Amino acid sequence: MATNARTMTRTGGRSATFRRFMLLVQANFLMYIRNKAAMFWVVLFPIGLMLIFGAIYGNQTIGPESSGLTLISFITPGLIVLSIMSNGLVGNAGAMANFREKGILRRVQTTPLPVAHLILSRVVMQSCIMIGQAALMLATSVVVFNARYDVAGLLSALPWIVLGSVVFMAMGQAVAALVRKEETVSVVTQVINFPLMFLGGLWMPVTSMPDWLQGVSKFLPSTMLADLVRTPMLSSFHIEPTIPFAMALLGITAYLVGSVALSARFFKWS
Amino acid sequence: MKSILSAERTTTALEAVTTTSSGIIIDIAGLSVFYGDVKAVRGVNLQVEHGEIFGLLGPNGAGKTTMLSAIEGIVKPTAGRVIVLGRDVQKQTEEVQRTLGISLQSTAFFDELKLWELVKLYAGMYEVFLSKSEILALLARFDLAEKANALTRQLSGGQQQRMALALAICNDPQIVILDEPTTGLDPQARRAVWAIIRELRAEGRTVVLTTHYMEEAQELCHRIGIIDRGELIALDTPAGLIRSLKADSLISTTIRLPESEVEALPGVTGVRWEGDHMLVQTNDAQETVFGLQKLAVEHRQLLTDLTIKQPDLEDVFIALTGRNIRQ
Repeated sequence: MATNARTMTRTGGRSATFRRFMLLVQANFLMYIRNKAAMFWVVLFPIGLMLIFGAIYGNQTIGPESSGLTLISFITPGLIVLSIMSNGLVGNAGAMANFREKGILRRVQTTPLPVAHLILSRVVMQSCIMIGQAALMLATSVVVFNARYDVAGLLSALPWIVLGSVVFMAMGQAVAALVRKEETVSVVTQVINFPLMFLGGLWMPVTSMPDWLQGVSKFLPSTMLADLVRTPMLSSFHIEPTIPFAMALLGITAYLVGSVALSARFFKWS
Repeated sequence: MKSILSAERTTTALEAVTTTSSGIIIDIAGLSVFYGDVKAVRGVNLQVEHGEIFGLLGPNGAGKTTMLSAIEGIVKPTAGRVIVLGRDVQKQTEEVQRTLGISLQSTAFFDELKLWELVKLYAGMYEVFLSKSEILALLARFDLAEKANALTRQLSGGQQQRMALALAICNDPQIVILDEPTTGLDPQARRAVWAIIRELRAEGRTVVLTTHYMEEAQELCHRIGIIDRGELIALDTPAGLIRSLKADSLISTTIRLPESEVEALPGVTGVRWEGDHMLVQTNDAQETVFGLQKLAVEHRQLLTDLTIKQPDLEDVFIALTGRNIRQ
């Protein structure tokens, strides 16, 4: 057996690094789809919400009747953002805190694998999952509720889905870096997640809120992302974004840079 | 000491390339690690020789894990240096890490991966890519072949520890570093782990482990470094450490003999009673037992229930630190 182990492939250089990265993506994917909590909150819960909203409001339209914009078409991009938030902020923070508490980060530190590769492989894998999840939700809304989207708009929303997934994962990473215990991490992410969810214009236009709340709302990353994803998807309905495009992009990039800086500065191995 | 090392030593290609002529595989010089005010390791000098099972023995919090961390390159020494296979751990961390197989105190399993997937992933971290059949062979060796598709939470404590050992050698390391490999295991599972550790050594790997079990250090290790409060206070073979103590043996028997006559026997340094048992402390167990036998005959009594306790590492530890290891 020992000889067996000694004859195994030992490669080096860039190709080995790439192969290792793909192995990490694959392993993280398996962990993800086997994690029941992630599957519930990221996949089932947003779709369940859509079905409930749809059952209550049917094909009710928002705005002027003539616009033909149904509530379901409006909230589906919002629910995609909800999914991205559960996946990134809540899910990633929890996973990193769990890795730390189980001693996995320490163990990784003893190997030649840079921990950044582990984190990056999760970002790549989860961004792919987010694209798949968005496709699933759009398909559900079209099949079940006959929602309509602008096809070119869907494609142009794709980069924002990926960006949003990266931003919220970075925020999760930052929370995990700042807060030590896994239990506390989960409480903190819920506390952050709640206002982001209700004030981010995910299932109602921000303009329907009182003025002071609108003021708060405009600074939230969820509002920015919902704008970035929704506006191109519903471009044929000419809906007005809450925040001008450039501001939304700038704002969400600021959240990304801030989160990455915090996670790098306060990263804890154990 | 050398004779133990040369026994059943196997030479492999890897070994021939990297073994230095001196046989020193890990060289720790003047190592200190301070965490703020806490002086976890204080000026330790220590050499681990190729092919031995080296044990760091000491109570919890003595600095054993920190010493291992310095070898593994995950803690920066405050002073001193660690050289592994001729490379400075701080300067060539990655190269050193490729030669090490690690098992930390926490087993570090990913919850949702099956055993074979964990082996594949951890080997991959070292850029060692194993085929499924190689992985199954590795698991079989640790008696885990049937559990290849199980999750780690479905394993017993002993199986988890064997899995941790499998992960420690999945990158085919020359040096295996095990932090408390048997803590919390029942005696049977502990012996199974010992057998595996001896096997790793028989393959030509050097093993460094920590323990706070005296009998483990005594039975398993070729050499032991006793660590207390961050300092290396003794370093020798288990037999050498006990010899250096020049400690007395303790004879226990239920026979009733006049204390003054027992005290006069050759070698006896003290007599006391513990319930029914007379405890005779002696620096010459052989002569004292012979004398006891004669006394028993003279007093027409039967010498029954006689045991001789030799000094062990526990006594060495108490002699060196004035404390029991679990205090």
